[in-house]
Amino acid sequence: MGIEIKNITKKYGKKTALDSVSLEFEKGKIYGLLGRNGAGKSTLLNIIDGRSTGFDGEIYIDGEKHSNKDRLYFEDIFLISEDNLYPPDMSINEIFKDTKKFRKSFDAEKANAMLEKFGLKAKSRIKELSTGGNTAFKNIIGLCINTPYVFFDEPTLGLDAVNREVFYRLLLERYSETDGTFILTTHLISEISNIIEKLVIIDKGKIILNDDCINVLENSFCISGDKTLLCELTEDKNVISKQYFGNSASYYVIGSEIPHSTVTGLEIKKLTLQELFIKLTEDEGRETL
Amino acid sequence: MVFKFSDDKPIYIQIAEQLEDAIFTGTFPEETQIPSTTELSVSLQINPATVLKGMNILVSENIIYKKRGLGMFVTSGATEKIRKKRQESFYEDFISPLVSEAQKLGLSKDEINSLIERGYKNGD
Amino acid sequence: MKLRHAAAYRYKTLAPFLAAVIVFSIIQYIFTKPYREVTEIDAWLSIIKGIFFFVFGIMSFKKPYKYLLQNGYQNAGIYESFLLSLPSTLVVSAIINVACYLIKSQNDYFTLIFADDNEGLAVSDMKIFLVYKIIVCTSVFALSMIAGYLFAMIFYRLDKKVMTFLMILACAAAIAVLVLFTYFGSDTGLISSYFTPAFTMLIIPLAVLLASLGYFLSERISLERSRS
Repeated sequence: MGIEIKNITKKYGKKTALDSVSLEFEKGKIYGLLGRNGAGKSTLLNIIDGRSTGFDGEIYIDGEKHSNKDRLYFEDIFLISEDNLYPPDMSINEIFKDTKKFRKSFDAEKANAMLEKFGLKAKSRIKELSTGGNTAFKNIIGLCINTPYVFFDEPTLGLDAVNREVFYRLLLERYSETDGTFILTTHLISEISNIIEKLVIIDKGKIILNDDCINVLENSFCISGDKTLLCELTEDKNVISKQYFGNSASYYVIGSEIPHSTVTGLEIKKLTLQELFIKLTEDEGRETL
Repeated sequence: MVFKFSDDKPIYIQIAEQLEDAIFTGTFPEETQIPSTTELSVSLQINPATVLKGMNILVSENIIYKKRGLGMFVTSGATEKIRKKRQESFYEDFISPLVSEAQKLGLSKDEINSLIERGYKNGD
Repeated sequence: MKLRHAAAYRYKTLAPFLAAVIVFSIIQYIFTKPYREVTEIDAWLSIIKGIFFFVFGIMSFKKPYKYLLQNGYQNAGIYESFLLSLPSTLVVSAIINVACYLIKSQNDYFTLIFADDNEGLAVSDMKIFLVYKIIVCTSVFALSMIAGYLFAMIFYRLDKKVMTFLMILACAAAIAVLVLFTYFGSDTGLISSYFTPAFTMLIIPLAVLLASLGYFLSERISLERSRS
């Protein structure tokens, strides 16, 4: 069970937004879908949600082919996108009521209870909300929609630090209560590195990493020291980035267990998720300081 | 209980260690319940699977055990077990790095010994 | 059930338009008198109503589209809910349209029957005539509205300004056709033939054809904004 994505290719004219993307979103886990601006995250989410057509490849939701499912909407999926698609003149309250009509599984009472936690009022109209308020209100819908799969595209946009924590807490609470599948995209990598269980990194339309977050971090490190020594030691390893400081260098390695014993003169450091992400996706050719 | 997380060790190991600390210092007495996976997950903002992984380390060492339907409890004799475990790893955790650092700084064995003496005197 | 809910939202946006239709029809018939022959004014007013519904069709796409999309509706589903909301809107509009006609000409409605009834159709029963008139109105409004919706669907990706410009162009073209009609029509009897049953009955299959085209398009047009 889960969402299986097989060889999705999406082109906009000459530009390839997604290049033969294949991955699986396992049911009941929290995913972090990370990527730089324009990497293809939103494109992928729009395709899964059905907003975007005209692509090659197949999607299976819990075994059923995407294109054969409901003509109206996919019952099992809900996407909270970056765009503001809610009518500006409607109030939060009215939208909650409508959402209940559109999607029976939506828990309107819980949603109303969450408003206070983000400092929002039920009577406020969408046009009166700030960027953060808008994000918070949409996040509440995502947290209460109760579909098996919920996608949050940039749920941290415009949220201040306090409200971000509120969101993370509520997300983890809902996750524990419902065992749903939550997929988040964000640029605040260090903040979500402990919240996600699975990690998917997309770069220039391709999936470059898809693994358990803990696994990835346990097998990534930065080793610094003498250049030639490093070269020897890392011959058989996957070095994703190199930095040179005169005769010494720092090599960033992934996919190998962090070495315990160190040879004198070499320093080994564990990588944070953010550091790993940057090294994996920064533009090539940045080998010198 | 205040959790502090650093970047040097996997989070689940840090959870295991800090829970162990709390048990060792008596914050969670033997045969009492420790916070649930969900409680820790929400208050620390950490994925429950990670929290569980940390707890399972302690389960495998028999420091905590699962009571069906209720949650995780501290096993009797856990404090002793932790003490023994820490005594055994004392050398690896403290002595080895101490000697290595002392060597880097050029401190002799006698100098280290007098420092240890000083430590005990101050501790009394 | 789902379609009903989707359509339910659209009625919120339709209410103000329905109100506008009522007002428009009332104004129209205050300023026209029932004539024996169909006149230029009637033709003008009919075309303007058509344009009105064309714009209405565009608005029916734009406003609810985003909202339904946000709730996960697919293009085809959004189009279906639009079609579902049409019958009641159009029939109500048509009834209002015809009712205003009747109210104004209470004293003279038999003359009226003749005024709209040109060669070929012998109408003795007022009721049948009214039903016929309502059907015609409904079809004309339907044709306009669906055309407006499809217009918005096809040009959705375009800039707001470009879209508005194209819309004005379309309306101007319609008005230009009318001007030509009135210029040449009144002499050759084109205007009167404009309102023949034969001509107006063409509207129904045209509306159906356009609706089907909508289905075809809604499944093939990717309604996402292109990112450069």
